Amino acid sequence: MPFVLLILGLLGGGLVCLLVINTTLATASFAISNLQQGNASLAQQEQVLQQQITQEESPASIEQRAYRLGLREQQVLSFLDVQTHRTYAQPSSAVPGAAGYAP
Amino acid sequence: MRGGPGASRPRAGAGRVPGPRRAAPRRAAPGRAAHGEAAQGRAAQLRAGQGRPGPRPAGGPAQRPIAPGRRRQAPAALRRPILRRGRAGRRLNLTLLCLILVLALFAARLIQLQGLDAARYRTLADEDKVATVPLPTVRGSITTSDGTVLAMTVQTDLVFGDPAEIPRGQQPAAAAKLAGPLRLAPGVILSLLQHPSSPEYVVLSKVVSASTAAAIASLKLPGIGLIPSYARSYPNGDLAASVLGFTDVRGGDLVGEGGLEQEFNAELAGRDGSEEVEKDAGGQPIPGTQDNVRPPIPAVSIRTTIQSDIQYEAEQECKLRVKQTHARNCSIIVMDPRTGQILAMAQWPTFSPASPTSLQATQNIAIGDVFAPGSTLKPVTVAAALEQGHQTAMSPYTIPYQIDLNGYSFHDAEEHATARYTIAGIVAYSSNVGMVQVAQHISPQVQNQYLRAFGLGSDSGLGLPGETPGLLPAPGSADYWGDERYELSFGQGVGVTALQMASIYSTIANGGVRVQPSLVAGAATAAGVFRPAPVPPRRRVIQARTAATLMKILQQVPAVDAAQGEPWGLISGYTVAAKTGTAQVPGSGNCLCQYGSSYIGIAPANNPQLVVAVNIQDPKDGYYGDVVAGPVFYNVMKFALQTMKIPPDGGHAPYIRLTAP
Repeated sequence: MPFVLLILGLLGGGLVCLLVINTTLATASFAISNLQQGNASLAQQEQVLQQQITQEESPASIEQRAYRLGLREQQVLSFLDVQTHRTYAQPSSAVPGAAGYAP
Repeated sequence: MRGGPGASRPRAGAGRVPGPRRAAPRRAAPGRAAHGEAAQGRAAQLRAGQGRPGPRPAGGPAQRPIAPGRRRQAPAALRRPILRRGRAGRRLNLTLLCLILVLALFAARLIQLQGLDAARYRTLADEDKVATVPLPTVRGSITTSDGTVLAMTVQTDLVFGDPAEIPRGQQPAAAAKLAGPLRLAPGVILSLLQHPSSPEYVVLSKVVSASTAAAIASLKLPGIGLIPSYARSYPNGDLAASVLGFTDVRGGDLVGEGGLEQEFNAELAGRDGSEEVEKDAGGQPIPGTQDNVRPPIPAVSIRTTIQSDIQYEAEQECKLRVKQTHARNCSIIVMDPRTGQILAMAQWPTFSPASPTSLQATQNIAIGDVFAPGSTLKPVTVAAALEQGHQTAMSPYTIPYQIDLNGYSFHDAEEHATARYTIAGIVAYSSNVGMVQVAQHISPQVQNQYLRAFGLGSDSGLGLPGETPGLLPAPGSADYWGDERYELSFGQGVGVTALQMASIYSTIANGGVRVQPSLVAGAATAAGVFRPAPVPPRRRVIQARTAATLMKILQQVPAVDAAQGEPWGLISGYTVAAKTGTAQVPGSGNCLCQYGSSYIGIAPANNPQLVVAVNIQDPKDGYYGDVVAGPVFYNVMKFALQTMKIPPDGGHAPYIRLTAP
């Protein structure tokens, strides 16, 4: 009699476990689908933002904004000596005239 | 022997089932017999009553005398039909047979359904249950070496309308609501809805950004739907357009055309995968059931060697100079001579990769346009003469303005008195007359060998589609005219591309070792793992000391040009080795009135890290190389030195004697 009860108990327990596992899997599957949808919409947002950032970072955009801020490209390079804290330039005998062309 | 019910005495030969059936009639028979006898008795009595003689005893079975040999038998009128044993059995057997038949039919059908046709029905059931989910591979992006994204794939949506679903009266309202997101006039949308291309489907907008699609979806208008797809976006406009190429949509897939998009199309595209899952009615995948995945081949992103800032600067300079000189085109190449990597490949005119106007506009001028280089090719003949012509940099020559050799006449660009120059002076002052005399010290075969070794007449190895190897006539061939060796010495009679010229000077700057030019730094997987490109092949072209001599000679050019009023090679703080070139191009009607101006420079000359090659074809406003291309070189080289943060090296060129006694 106890052996029968044991077997019945094991079988019943196994059945219950199976049911629990199946239910958990199904619930998780729904959760996965929801998260995937959320993922997709976040990825779209990220892509839109990435495009905006790239356009803002592009050399053309930076040049325009720098020009509007009053920055101009240097015609003759000058250098800063870090040790002596002195700026110096070594202009050549004829400086290319800025009047000829300017970006 | 009489038997009661259940007696079983098989009768021999009868084959009948013994038992109650037999007993029952037997029981009935005596009963009926008795009944019959009693009836006979009463009948006899009745007859007796009617006066027949012979009193009969009342009660008890009347016994009629039986004739011997006859069985007792009931009278005919009293004979009841007896059910035959066989008929009942047969009917029942028949029913049994019918039952068996029907069951057999069931069994046969069962075997057919479950055994033979099982596969077909399983397939049908699977079709209902199993859904194939595509696993799309997003086309990889192309970036510069400083991380700027040149090309990327974005998800877009196609907006369509189903006019059958939208009630007539609500169509204007729907059109008005869509006008904002779609950026179309409400009237246009309304006319599309009212005159659709097919009764249930009309495309309202082919490409709509993801945010606009979300806005339209949130409106929840009946009869308006979205179909997602992928499109290629070039967020930097036309930056490096000729290097990138463009993409075409073919059969729903993005296919690259021209440039890197075509060269690496397979790696960028990958391959879509698919997954078979069992789904329920709501589209939810059921866990624990079959799940066959055909894995997608992921796409890789290409990282180029292009520096976006230098590329932009070069493109702007090209465009400006072409407009100023009314030239046909301009190309600029900025290379690192130590690694062969191309930091910028600019051209004007260029195109917009998002919407190319024509196939002609998408040509990469730096590798596809062939021109005569002019004086910039002189160092090659000089190198051959130094190595194989027993000449040194100090070898003296007498240079008149014009010279006649073997019946051919050559002259310098500008009139001058006869002078004595060394080879260094010939190159620094760019004398054609001097070069033809130098060329006499090497044979045409040796000259051709050096030109080939420097990369002329063959593909550069870059791999971009649309590259041409140029035109290098070989000695002994039909194209090799009598004066070809002299023409080659000052860069005429040969066709080269801008990349080939840049590669020549990179070789000289790299101590005589030619590194194959490359545009690709490596590939990055979607997971972010970066795989650098293989090291490009290197080949020694000239000896190191020949290259050093050439560098020394070329460092004289900026000062020489500055003395003539063109200081474009003088960049303060840096030593620059440069060469100008003015080539004559046969124009229409055989007039030598078209020019090609080039300026190629190397900086810093003591430790070369940058080579800038500028070429402007057919300028109408001025034509000398230093005049037309010089300012462009100055601006681009200065900007490139700044961008690459190359420290200045003092700017003092070594002394080398240009004149000969």
